[in-house]
Amino acid sequence: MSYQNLRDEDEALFRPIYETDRSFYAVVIALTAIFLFGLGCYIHQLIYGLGATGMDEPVSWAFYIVDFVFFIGISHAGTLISAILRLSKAEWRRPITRMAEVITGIVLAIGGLHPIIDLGRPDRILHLFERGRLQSPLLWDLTSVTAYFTASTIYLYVPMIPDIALLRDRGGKLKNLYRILAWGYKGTPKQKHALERAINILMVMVIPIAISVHTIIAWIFGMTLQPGWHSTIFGPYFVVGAIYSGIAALVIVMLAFRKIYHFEDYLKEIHFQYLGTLLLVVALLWTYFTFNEYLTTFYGHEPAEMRVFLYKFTGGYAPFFWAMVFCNFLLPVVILSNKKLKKIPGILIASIGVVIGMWLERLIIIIPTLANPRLPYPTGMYIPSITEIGIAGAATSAFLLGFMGFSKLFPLISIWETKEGREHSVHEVSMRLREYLPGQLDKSGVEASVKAEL
Amino acid sequence: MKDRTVYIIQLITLSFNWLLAISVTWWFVHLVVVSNQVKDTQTASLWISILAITVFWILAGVLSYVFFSLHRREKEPA
Amino acid sequence: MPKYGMVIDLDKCTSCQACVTACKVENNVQIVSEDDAQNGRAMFWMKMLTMEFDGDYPNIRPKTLPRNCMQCDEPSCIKVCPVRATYLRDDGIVAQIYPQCIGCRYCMANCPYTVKVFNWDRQEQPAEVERTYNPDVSVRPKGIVEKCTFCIHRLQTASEKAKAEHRDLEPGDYVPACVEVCPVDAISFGDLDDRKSEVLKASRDYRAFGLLEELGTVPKVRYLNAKE
Ligand code: SF4
Ligand code: SF4
Repeated sequence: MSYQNLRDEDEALFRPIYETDRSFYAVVIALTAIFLFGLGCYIHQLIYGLGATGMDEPVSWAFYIVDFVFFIGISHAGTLISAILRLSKAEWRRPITRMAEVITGIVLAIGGLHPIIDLGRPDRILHLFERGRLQSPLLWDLTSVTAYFTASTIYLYVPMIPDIALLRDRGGKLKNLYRILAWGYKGTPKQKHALERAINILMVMVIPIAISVHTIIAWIFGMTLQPGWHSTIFGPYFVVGAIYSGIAALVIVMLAFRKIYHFEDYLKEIHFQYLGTLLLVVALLWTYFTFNEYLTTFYGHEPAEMRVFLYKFTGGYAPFFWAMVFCNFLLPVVILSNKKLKKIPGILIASIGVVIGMWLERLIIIIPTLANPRLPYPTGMYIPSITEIGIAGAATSAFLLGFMGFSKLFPLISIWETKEGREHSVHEVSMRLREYLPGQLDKSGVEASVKAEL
Repeated sequence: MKDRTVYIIQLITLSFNWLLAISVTWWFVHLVVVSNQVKDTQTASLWISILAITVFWILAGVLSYVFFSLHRREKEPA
Repeated sequence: MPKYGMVIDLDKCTSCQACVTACKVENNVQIVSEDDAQNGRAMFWMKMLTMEFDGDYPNIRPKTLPRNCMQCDEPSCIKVCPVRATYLRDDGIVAQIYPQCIGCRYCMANCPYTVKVFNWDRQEQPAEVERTYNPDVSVRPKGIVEKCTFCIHRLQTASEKAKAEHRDLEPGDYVPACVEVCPVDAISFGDLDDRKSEVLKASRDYRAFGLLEELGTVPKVRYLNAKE
């Protein structure tokens, strides 16, 4: 592969790295301000203790844990989806995978910090290392999030090596950084082969790790005895929800950066329509799980469970519950199953709805159970304080800042994969298609017939 | 920068991953020892540790595989 | 090894809340500000719980019930603690190590009885309260979880005293503050492994039941139903 002609063809993908306009800085400053405000809130909380939050008894877990579950859910956008798309050889994945993986890395780092923000005594965090008790789901969680973070960073990095090599060869800014990170990649066949092999291993490894992460988060709740939490389907239910919110977040981020960096030529409407179809499938799957979860509760009619159930359906959390049903079921299903609406604006609206809906879903899972304990205490109340909202804002802006920073250092769309798609996949896919057809004997026969046609 | 310096820096970054794998291992072994001392959840600790340690070692292994196979090719005549 | 347990006779209990107050004073439980109390952050180890139902499941007539930590034999709280800050002692007491707790509040979320309380913040205590702090019990800092310990410091004092007098711990030597203070002797306390103990006899009474026993937490605090 010669790098020279690559430069011209995919110049648009390099441009964001070398050119920055003024509005970019304006956004960075605004986001930094939000972030600093959140940081201030956290420092306030460190000084005054968790009293600064709106948590009380019995609602002893709230915003932070909701955000934790939500952010880790978003992180399933990336690695899981890109691994599944790579594994299934979906050709349209090429411009998508990189962004998906970046989202994972950043969001995971942010989400993973939330339980620490939630600790009453963060200064004693080392006790986890000294006297940790491995029976506690919190430790499983710590382990699996770390493993997922490591795996997804490696899985982001390894397929990026050829692109970094391209940047290195262009010279210019940060040459030494790229030189270090490129790991001496020159594009020789053997190097390519090694890289491909590593990607394949990682792809297969990352899927179970990603699934385990969200299953374990579900187990934090599922392993307790509390009504509304103690449920066997929580593991897969959370995983489906995570993939759901992940795809939606991915669509939003892709649309935003396509607009900002003019990637229209790479991210076409068809990509979003495929993602929309995926979103629709997961939407129905999510609805199926939700229906299962609530119908069994309702049919069983256990008093403690029913109190939580009614609290969600008709009680204090009913507005949130029905908003969730609207955002997560009605809105996306109507938009995405309708050919006329399934255009970019429609898909964007559906995705925004899903992200909001999934946040509400986490809220609805966590708080009503805590607010309705088994014994007849008065129903708990929870109103978030400024501190909690500020920290949530900071987390979101940290995510955006991280993503924007990444886009200034590395290409957001995998250049070599685009290139490879252009050069090899057209041929490979038509070969593959022919192999599926009846009447074709073997690979060499197919190859001969393709050649004959060309 | 000289090639040698670049190589050393690269090795250092790679070694972070091994550092992580080794510290995770060390941590889990420590936890199993503690659980054995206080006679509390020994089996659970053992199995969870084995699982987690394997994952981290495989990940570090894959990364090192990439690193060394990229570099080995460099020395061959092109 | 003894196994400490408690039986509360709801027939005798007059809901006078002497135990609630005694517990708060004995264990230096923080008095929170009025605002915080209104927001549901009041701290009680022993709490008078209003049971809404009347004459339903197994024939409960009294509407209130003093509730401390059930000292479960199969406690859900210790299972989930990531740092072993709460643990089951050999004598059956579920103890809490304050300097070890990291304040994750997982144990609060998993206690089916919603027993544990959290120090949301640390407030200035009234001067009279600070003067009468119990020197045997540590004052907890903010950010950690605490709960009823069956007045474990009393057990320590009593066994040290017994040791100094070269004898074994006698049944009456160690009783928690709530038991001591109850004006109608509604609470009996003692060793559930001791066949002659009053508390064992009471816990085998036909009126005895445990709160949410069906969850399999095996509470060592049991109740006697009010008589018809
Ligand atoms: S009542 Fe709650 S805090 Fe007390 S031992 Fe049982 S589970 Fe633990
Ligand atoms: S709050 Fe403290 S005692 Fe409770 S689970 Fe967390 S560390 Fe353990």
